Amino acid sequence: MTIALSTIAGAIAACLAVSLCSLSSMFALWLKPATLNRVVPYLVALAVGVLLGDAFIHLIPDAVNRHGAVSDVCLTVLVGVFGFFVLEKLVRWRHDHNVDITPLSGEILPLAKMNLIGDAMHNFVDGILIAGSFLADPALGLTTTLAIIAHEVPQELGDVGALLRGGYTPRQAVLYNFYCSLTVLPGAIFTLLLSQIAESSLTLLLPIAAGGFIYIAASDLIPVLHERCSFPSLSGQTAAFGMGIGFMQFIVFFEQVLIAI
Amino acid sequence: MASIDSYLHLIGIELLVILAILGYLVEADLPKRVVSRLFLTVLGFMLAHLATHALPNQIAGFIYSSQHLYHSAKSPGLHRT
Repeated sequence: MTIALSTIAGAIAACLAVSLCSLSSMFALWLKPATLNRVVPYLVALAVGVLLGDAFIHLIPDAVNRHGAVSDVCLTVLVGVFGFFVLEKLVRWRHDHNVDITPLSGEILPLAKMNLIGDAMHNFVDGILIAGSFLADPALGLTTTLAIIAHEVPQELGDVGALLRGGYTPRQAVLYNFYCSLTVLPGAIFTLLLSQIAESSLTLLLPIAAGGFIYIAASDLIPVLHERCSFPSLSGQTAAFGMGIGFMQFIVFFEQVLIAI
Repeated sequence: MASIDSYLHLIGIELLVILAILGYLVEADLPKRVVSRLFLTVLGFMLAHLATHALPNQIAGFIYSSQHLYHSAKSPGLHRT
């Protein structure tokens, strides 16, 4: 199968646009440390909502649509959760001896590393989706890119919140988050070169990424939210959590409107 | 569907923005130098393209816009001089 050069260039331009969006979290650099410390728990709550929303509203239903069998998708999600659990145990065993959820000075908590791995995997899947839709039709490629950008911006904000909580400096958090977002390009190139294999690998990659997000949100981030129990933190974090889910649900409507155009 | 030229312009602009932001974020000397050189290379390519293709094409289009022969001689796909 020969692919038009404009399709390849379009897919690469779309991937770079998605990577560029991950730099939208740069605003964290201009905040004062005291303000940042106050904002981070709310960003973590937003991350929980966005990660769980992405898993349950986008990735799992998409995997079910592609695969057809709910039980197989659920099993793969569980394999993803299990895989990330083992991965975290390995990261802790290899690098970390701090079992507390507060980073010591200069130390990076496993939750930050896990978040980077999960985000890289998610962006790789995004690259497959972008290139796959550009192969089908450039207009579909454009709408898919817009939908991915729409869910990427709030997610990157939440991810940077999680990385800051994990012990990275604001500058490191933005940079590492951007490096992870670059996996969208290998995902697209993989699809353009091997479109048949890439399409079938989505049935496996989507639920595993969903499992990873559920694991990170439930085991690493939610315990962090329970550290502060005052009324302002209760109301603020609940609102941020709900807003994360709301963003993801809004994107479903947005995608439907784009497809209808 | 957009032409390959439009996509390449878009890729160039995105690369410039990304490299400019990376140049600001990276603190170590060597990576900063590499990013700066990459930025200058991409900028050089884009300026060369502007000077040798985009600008002459615009000027020719402006000067000969009323000439029927110019329009019939232009290729329908790529609008290059």
